[in-house]
Amino acid sequence: MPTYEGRTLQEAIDNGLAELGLARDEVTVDVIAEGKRGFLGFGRKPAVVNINKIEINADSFNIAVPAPEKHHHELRDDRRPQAAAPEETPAAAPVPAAAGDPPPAPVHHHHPAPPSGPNPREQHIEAALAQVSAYVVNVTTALGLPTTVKIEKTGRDKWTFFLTTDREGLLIGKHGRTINSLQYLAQILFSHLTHSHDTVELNVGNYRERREEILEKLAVKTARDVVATGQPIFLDPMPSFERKVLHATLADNPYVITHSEGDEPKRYVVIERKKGSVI
Amino acid sequence: MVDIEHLIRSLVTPLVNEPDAIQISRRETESFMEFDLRVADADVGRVIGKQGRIAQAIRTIVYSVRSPYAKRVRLNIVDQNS
Repeated sequence: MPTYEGRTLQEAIDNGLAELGLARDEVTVDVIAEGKRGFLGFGRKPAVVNINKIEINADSFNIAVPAPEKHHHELRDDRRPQAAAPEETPAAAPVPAAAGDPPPAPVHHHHPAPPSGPNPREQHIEAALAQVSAYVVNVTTALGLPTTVKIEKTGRDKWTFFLTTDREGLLIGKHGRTINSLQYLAQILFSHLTHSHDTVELNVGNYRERREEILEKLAVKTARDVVATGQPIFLDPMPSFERKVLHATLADNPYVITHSEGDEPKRYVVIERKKGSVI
Repeated sequence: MVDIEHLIRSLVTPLVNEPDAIQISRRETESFMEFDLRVADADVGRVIGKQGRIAQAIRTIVYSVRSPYAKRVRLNIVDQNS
């Protein structure tokens, strides 16, 4: 049985498809190993998948469109962008999930889609997500950084677009400036299309997690300095979701209090000694 | 090499109601390669946004690429009403 490796599942699948010269909807994919990203190069494990050609007549998967409900989001997310932007993004087009497949369950298992039926509102949101995904792919392609996008619901009102690209640093920009701008535009487009209040987050590799870790460390270190000197410290301007990390990290700290000052987009966190707190 | 005009177009097109009205022209000034973006009157607000936040985001992305010209790139949004 042919197996293929890659840093991520997506990459493993892409590698396999490239080698076989087949499209995603001509094969079944079984995940053998999920792969681990590791930390600083330790504990990294490749994702391994098994790819087999499906022997069915070509038109059967055009009919079987109603996907198994659980895989609903993912199917739409992957398929629509291709339809929306076929000529512009050949390299970046997300791997289409085959509607006629027997559910390739392992590929989807980290997709916490609610097992609810396709109600109109949900379909509407999915169509919008697909459009936003096409937007992101188009823009990154125009930037010369072709990207594959995978969408997951990561909160009650939150959708995370996981972007995979060769040169992550260029897409992220200094302190995440580029990716945050693109995220803002994606959010605007999504809100405009759906009139919903859901949040759209763009993640490149594990950038958001890395950034969160850095901010938590910054919060702890700054709090220590504030306690040591008794002087308030004003941090650099940050977007709201990053300030939130700082506030949350120090919320339980009995010696300091935090608040934000200034106007968007240059709002910043202030950390100061809590009055009356005794060390 | 990044095609700046194509990049601007792909950023702006989905945000406006009249994509056909988008015009981008290029001119060279003393220290910049300036791109003038024109959109339909009704769409100007859509590419500028509250407090210019959308315009700011578009510019940040456009300026993030290495300029294919000898000069830095600048993006102007032309409001034809004024």
